[in-house]
Amino acid sequence: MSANAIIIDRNDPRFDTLKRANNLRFPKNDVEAAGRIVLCKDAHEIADALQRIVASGIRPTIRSGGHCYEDFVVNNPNGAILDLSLHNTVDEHSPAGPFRIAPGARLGEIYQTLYKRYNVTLPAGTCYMVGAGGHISGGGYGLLARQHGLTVDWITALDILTVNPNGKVIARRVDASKDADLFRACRGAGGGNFGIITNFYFDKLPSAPIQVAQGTLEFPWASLTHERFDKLLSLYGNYWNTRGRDPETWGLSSVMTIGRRHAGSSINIAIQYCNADGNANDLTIVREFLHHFSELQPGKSSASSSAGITRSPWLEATLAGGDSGGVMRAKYKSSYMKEPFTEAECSTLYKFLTSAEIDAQGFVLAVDGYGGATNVPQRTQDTSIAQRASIMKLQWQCYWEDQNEDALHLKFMDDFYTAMYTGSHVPAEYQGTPFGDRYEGCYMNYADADMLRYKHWPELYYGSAGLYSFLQQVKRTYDSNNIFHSSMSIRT
Amino acid sequence: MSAKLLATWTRRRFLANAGLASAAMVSPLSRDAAAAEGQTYPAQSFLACVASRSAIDAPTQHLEAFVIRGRDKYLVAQLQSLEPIGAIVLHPTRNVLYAAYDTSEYLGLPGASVAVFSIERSTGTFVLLDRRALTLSATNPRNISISPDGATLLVSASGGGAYNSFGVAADGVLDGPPRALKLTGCGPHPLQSSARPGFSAFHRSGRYAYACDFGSDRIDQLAFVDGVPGIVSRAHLLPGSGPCHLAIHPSERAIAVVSQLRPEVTIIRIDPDSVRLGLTSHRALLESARLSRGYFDASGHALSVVGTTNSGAPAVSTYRVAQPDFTLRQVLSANVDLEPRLLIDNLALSGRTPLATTMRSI
Repeated sequence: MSANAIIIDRNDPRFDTLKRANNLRFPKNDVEAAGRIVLCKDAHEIADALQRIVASGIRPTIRSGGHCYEDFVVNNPNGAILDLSLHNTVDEHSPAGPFRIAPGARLGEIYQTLYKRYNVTLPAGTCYMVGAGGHISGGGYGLLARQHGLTVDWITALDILTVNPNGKVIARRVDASKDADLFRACRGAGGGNFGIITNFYFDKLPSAPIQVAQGTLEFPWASLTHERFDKLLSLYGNYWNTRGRDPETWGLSSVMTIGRRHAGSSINIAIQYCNADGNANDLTIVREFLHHFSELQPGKSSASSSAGITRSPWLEATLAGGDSGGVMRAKYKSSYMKEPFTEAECSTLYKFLTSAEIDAQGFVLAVDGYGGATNVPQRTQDTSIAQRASIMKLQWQCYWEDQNEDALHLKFMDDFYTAMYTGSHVPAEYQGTPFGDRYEGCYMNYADADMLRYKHWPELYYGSAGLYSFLQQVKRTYDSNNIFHSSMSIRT
Repeated sequence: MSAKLLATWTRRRFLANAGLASAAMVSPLSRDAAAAEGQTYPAQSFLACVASRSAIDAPTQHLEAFVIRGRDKYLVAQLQSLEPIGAIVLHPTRNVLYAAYDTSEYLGLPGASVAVFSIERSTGTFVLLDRRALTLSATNPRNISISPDGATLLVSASGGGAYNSFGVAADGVLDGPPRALKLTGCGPHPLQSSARPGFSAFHRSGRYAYACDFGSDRIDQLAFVDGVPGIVSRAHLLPGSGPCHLAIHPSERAIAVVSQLRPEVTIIRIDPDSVRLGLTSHRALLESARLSRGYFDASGHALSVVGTTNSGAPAVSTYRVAQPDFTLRQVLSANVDLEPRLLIDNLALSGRTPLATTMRSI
């Protein structure tokens, strides 16, 4: 292994900590755990370590922040986890740019550094412990995505290590003119499929906002009959399907969080807004959004202003409370919606979240207002994100602590999700999945191995317009020996 | 089902069915066969299994077990499978069969699987004892071998470019998860875009195996440390060879490698002390043939190479093996033992095409 890389084997006291993922379901057991973890602090160390791993015939898996939702990384029997968390610089490649972000940098560090040094930002996620490597290469979105698009839309080049047919590690700088197919593939499908990305480059990035407005609407479950629940979801979906499409509103982001009904619980809609000039002086759009829900008489969690809206510096708002939570056992799913909720979907949600016979403990559904600048159809041609027409993006989450409850919660999530997308609102050939005219499938950064049961699982993640076959060709070209693989990697 | 005598078979019948009489490249066996019917049947009895399919009921595959005694064969168990069987191997001492399914997925995951069957002669059936997934990316296995002591099972996943090994318990069931060795490599032929491990054979000690990498024109010597396969030594063939089969000389001082893309047999020396692969000592190029395998006779003085002619007719070439330098000299006629494995190629019933075979003496 590399002379300078830090190798954590099973005899090292750090192994039991570092073998784990943030999702404590993985590794599944000690047998499934990796044989070693290799910590690298720069691209040279990564290349050297990768070469040794490949030569020894063991499987490399790649970890930046450790937030992979499925078993792609730490379930690696006798294999090696290449941990890139120490390769975390955020700087300029040269004094003239472009901006350079290493895969081990965490989003919170990236926001601070880009802001303080360059007064720019990346339209990335809200979980600030998440590593850039997986987040950016899988698409990457957050509260500024409606205004500025996805993180992959801004990448102009990247450094990547691939393994040639003879097993030799090749360092490449790829962009729109050099290895353009690989470059495109890594802009959305780059996680664990083709090689190891060691740097992302951005010729330019959006200016950092100065100030944002924030607020939260609360809808106590106790006040929500089935009819009012349906109304709430209808109002929310309809906003993003109508007014939310207007570029004037693209500075508005929101997340509706829906959990199970229990005493004192509520459904919340959190919003963040800034104008195109980076300020939050004009709150017309915000007030209009809040008014949209007035017939349901929501509560407002913030009392510091008359309208329940607070203004704060963007950096402060961005870094406040934005960690990734503690390590837990968890299961995730996702769905892209092109149209508002159907009656059937509302009924399924209401049933699963209110029924006394169904244990929805630990469940949270985050419904993001989506679209805006992410929905530029042309970007399907130079990125590997196929979902460019959705108005909402759903992240299905369930958390628990006891390993003995794994089967219970996994079944709950599977049953719930399957029921949600079963019925006349989903074409017969896609029953059980969010696909067809109303949907755009799933998000690979919210990977869900349950989808492997469907023959059309690649379409769920990569659409049905030929992207997956393109990615398969890229895979054959740059990773013919399938060195980089997981249960949901591109298949050749 | 009691064992049933299905047919009396003869070398003439075998050769006629196999079409060797029309083989242009080889005559030794066919002439020999015509002249010496019944002369060279192995004295011992065998348990043999064949996976086969027919055009009539494709994609159904048939798994059959036979007992062979002299000229006679008895069907002792059978099973139909809708999943393609890529390779089979019998346990060296138990009535247990291992079958690798030639698939790219199992239970939705990108890897193939291995099944363990008990051959129940009393009921005439194969009883599934276990089925295990191979490691991720270990797809389309085309070969499976087991160590002489029955302790290690080696699966060559041609599609995924990986070896998988399993420990085998005393009762024949698989013990623990598969252990993987991922290969890289390629060759100049369009079929050699990646490593494609294939045929393997264990050294008598059971500690090592030799295996062909069709995609990389290499022969690997594998060792199993704590059950994990690793490369001990390698021998490189000419680019574009496409090694598909090998035979270990009875002296265990050389192996004969049969190549398919470049129809050639290559002798590679084995260091007698370290059993590492050594230098190539001899090559013999065969014209206009697609080769499939080779085998030494028990004495080690003859090497037969089996294949097909360009027209698709089965063919066998035989060589005298000079020792100790292992040079080869093709012979036009030879009085060689008929390799038991050759015989079982013709075992599949009703004209089905054999896909995989395995046998052992009983």
